[in-house]
Amino acid sequence: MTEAELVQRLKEKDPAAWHQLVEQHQLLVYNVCKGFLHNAHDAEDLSQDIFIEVFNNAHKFRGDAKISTWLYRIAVNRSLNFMRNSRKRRFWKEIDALFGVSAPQDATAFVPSVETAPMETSEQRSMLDKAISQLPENQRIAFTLNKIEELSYAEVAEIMALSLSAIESLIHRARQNLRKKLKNYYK
Amino acid sequence: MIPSPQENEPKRVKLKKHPMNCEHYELMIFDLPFSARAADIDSVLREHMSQCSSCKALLDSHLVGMQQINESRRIQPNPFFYQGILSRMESKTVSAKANTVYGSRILRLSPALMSAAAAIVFGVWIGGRLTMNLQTSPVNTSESREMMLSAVAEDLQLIDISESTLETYLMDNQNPEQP
Repeated sequence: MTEAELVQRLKEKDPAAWHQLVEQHQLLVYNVCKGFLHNAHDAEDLSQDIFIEVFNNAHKFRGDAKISTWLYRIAVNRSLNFMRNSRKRRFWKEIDALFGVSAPQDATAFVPSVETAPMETSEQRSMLDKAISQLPENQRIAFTLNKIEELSYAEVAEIMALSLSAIESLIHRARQNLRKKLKNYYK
Repeated sequence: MIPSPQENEPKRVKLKKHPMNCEHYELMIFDLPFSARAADIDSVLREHMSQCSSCKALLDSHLVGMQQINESRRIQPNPFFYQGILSRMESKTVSAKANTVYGSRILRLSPALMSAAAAIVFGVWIGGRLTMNLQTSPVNTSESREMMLSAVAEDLQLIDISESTLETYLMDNQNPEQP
């Protein structure tokens, strides 16, 4: 099935096409969410929500960009919204903890196998995560997409709807900021 | 004495050329993709590392952080992912979930909230009772005043127990030496 056919069938709410989209792009969406949220469970929940949103809003997809670009855009925006709303969620978690009520567990949550279980987080990783999180929003998006997702400057520019030179500038400033933040710590 | 042309020229201090500009190489380190391994390092950067222990320490630490972030990425699809979406859709739509997220929490917390509300109501009731007891002290009421006056009048064997009679009696008997 070509991408155009897939898009057409998605707009017709074809479950088979949607299943195919999920299977083809779940890693992309999950890894972007994980890159921003640094939490496997939150990333899993959010990426599932994103596919539901895609299913409900497939008719809004104009088809002038690749599906992956559209998915990257949604994943980045939803991840940033999720982070912005994290204060509210933290408040409710504290209330839950205060009254000793635990949230219901999702039976379908993915438990990584022993081989894919993440290694113990090192101090270097924590510092790097923290330094990236503290970057200004646009710099963080551009840096994450380019260095972690390994997308080209042109692809990042298309996802962020900015010019190529703007992306170059954002990534350069992100590198400078990271250097300032991490240089003393690493040395 | 006329200085020679060579002496007129400003003295050129021959600077010792610094073999490397660390800032440039540090930026190169932060330009590496997170999947980079030590073997992938550019030869120019590698040459600098062999001479600069400071930049080498920076690179080594950065590689550890990058490697761990890269390894935490999922490389195999979750076989239950699609099933998870379906069950999520069945239970609630995304918008419905957004609207009822606080409602469901309140439902989950309802026993605790009811207990807290009961405790507050009980506390208010106890407090109210205590305050009422303090306010109904017999000292300040007119009824108790009348009782006191009648008791004093009885002690003094007065027939009329009005306040004015009592006051007159007390004034008359206050200083018996005065005419």
